[in-house]
Amino acid sequence: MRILIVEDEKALANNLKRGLSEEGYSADVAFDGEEGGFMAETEPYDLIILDIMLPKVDGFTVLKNIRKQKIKTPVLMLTARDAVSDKIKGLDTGADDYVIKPFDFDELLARVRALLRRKGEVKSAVIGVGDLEIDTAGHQVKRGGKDINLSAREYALLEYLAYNKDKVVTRIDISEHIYDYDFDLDSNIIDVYINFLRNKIDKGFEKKLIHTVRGAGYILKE
Amino acid sequence: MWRRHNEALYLMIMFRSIKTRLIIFLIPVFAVIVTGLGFFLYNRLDNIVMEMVDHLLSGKADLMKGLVHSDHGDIEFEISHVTFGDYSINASGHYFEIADTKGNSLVKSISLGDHTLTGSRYPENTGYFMGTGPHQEPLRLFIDEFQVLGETFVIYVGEEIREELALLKNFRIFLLTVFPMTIIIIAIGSMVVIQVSLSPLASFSRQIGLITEKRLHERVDSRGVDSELKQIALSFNETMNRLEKAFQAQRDFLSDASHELRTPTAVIKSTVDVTLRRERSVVEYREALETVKDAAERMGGLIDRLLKLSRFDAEQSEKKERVNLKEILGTALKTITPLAEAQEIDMYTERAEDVTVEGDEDQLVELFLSILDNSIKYNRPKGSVSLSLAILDNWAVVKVADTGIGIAPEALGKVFDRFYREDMSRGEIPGTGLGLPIAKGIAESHGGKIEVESEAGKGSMFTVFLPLAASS
Repeated sequence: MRILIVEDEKALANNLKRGLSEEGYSADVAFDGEEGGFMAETEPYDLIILDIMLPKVDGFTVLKNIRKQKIKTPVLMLTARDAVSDKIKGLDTGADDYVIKPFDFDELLARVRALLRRKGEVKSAVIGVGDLEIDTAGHQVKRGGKDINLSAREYALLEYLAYNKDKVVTRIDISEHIYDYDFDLDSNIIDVYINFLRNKIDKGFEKKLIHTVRGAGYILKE
Repeated sequence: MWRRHNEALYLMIMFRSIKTRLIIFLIPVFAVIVTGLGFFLYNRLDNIVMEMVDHLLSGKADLMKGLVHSDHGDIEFEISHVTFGDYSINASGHYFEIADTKGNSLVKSISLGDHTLTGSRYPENTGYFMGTGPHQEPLRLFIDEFQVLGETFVIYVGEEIREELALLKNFRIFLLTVFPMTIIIIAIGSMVVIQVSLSPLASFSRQIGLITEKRLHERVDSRGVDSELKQIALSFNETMNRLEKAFQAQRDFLSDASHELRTPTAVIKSTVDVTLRRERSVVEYREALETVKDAAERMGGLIDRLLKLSRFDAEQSEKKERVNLKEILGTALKTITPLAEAQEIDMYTERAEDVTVEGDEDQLVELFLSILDNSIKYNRPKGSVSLSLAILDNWAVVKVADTGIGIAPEALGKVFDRFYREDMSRGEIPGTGLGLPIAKGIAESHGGKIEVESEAGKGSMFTVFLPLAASS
C-alpha cells in the first residue's frame, strides 16, 4: 500500500514516513501543496495524508484539484485546525477522514487501515481468503490456524493482493503500490517475491491461493 | 448575627435605591412647602378678616366721638340718650363704652347690660384687641383716646366676631385636611411616576442579565425608551460592541495560539510514538530526542513571546527612564549582526542623531530587534538593510528599509496581525509570526506607532515613531 504524505513540518513528515514504512507501507513525502498536488495526480497512491496550512497551495485547494481530476484516492486530513467549520469544509471538499494534531500514531494507523479497506470489499481488519487469514492491524498471517512468518516486503505484497482479492493485479500495479517513489522499477523482483510468498503460503497445501494470470499478472483467490 | 447584618444590608439597599431616595427627599420638601403655604394663606385670610372688622370699629368709634360734645362748659354724652339700632338690643354683638382715663365708665351701650369693656388694657394700650362680650362671646375691641375741651376720654368699641372666627376655623380645618392629603397624593403620584420611568431599568437589568460570554451578541433594546435611559442603553450597547470585538480578538488569539502550539506538540508526540513502537539503536534514540528538543525549544520560544504579547495588551510600559535612542539602535544592531552576516546582508546606518526618548530600554531594544530581524529574514541574499534616526516635530523617527521580497499590498494591513506570515511561508523562513506584533505592542505602550510601506519585489520600509522625551 502506497501512501503520500503532504506536510510542510519536516520533522513531522519524516516521523510519519518512518512510522508508516515500518508498518510495511511505502510512503512519499511532499513538503508543499504544489508538489503534493503534482504527486497525487501523477502517482497511483492508495491513501493521501494531507495538511491544510501548506506553503504555495493550501490543503483545501490541493484536495479540490485532485477531486476535480476524478482521483478517488482516500484522503486523510491531518491538521492543527480544530474548528468544526474546518472539519466540515475538509470533509465536504472530499476528505475521507479528519485527524487533529497532535494525534496518537496508533490511532492514525487504525484510521489509515480503515481507509484502505474502504475502497474494496474488505470491511474488517482481518482479511480472509479460504483458510488464509491476514490480520492487517497486527501484520499476522495464518493459514489453517498456523502462523506464517513473512518479511516486511512479502507481507506488503500479500496485503496488497489481499486488499484486491479475487481481482487481477498487474506487476505495474504491484510495483506502484508497494514501492515508494525512489524505488527503481524492475518487475523481475516482483516475480521473485511472488515465489517467496508461494513457498510460504501455498507450499504444502493442496489448494493453491496465489494464481498467475498469463499475460496479465496475479490474483489471490480460493 | 447574620440576620442583623442582613437587616443592615437591606436598609442600605433601600437607601441605595433611587426611588427611596427620591421619596425621602420629595416628601419633606413638599411637606415644608405645603405647610408654609398653609400658614401664609391662613395668615392672609386672618389679616383680611380682622382688617375688615377693625375698619368697621374705627369708623364706629369716630362716629361715637362725634356724639360727645360740650354744652355750656359741661360735657354731654349725647349718645347716652341714643338708643339707636343694634346698640339698644341686649347682647346684640355691637357694643360701645366711654370711660374717663381712670377707667370709670361714663356711658355705655344698652347692649352691654351689666358688662363693662373697661378692663386692664387701658391706659397701657390703645388699638385693636381681642376680648369677650357679656356672654363670653369673642369680641374684636377698639380702644382709643379722644379729647373734648381739654378732657381726655377713652372709647371702647366692640364687635362680636363669632362668624369671622368660625370662617377662619373652617379655613384652618380645610387646610389641615386638604394639605396632608395633597402631600399623600403627591407622594403616591411621584412614586408612580418614578416607578414608571425607572421600569425600563428593570427590563435593562433583565436583558443585561441574559448576556453571558457565550451570548455577547445580545444587546439591550433601546427602542421606545425615554431619552435619558436611551442614552444608557446606547452607551451600554456601544460598550458591548467593543467588548464583543475584544472578546473575539482574544478568542481568535487563543485559537491561533493553540493552533501554533499543536504543530510542535504533534512533532513531539509522533516522534515519541514512532520511536517507542520498537527497540531502537542508540543513534535512533539520540535523533528522536534531538527532534523532541528542537520542538520543545520552539514551543518554549512561542510561549515566551505569547506571554510577552499578552503583557503589552494588559498594561502600559511601566518603566519610564530617559534613554538615548541612538545607543538603543546600536545595541540592537550589534545583537543582530551575526544573523545579517550569516545571510550576507549588508547593514548600514544612514544617519543617527542623538535623540532622547522615555521608556524601557530592554523593550525598545526588542522593538528594533524584531524589525531588523524581519528585514533580514525577508531580504534577498546579499541584500541590504539601511537604518536612519531623525527628529520630526515632536517625534523620534526611525526608518528601517530593506531590499527584500516586499509585501503584497493586500497583505500590508496584516503584517502586524498575530501569527500572520505572508504566504503562510512556514517552513521556509523560520519564525513565530509574533515579532512584528510584539514590536507594535512595544511602540504603542510607549505612546508611539509603527508604519510600513512596501513594494513587492523591491523591499519594505518600517517607520517607528516614538514621542520625544520632554526636554529637562
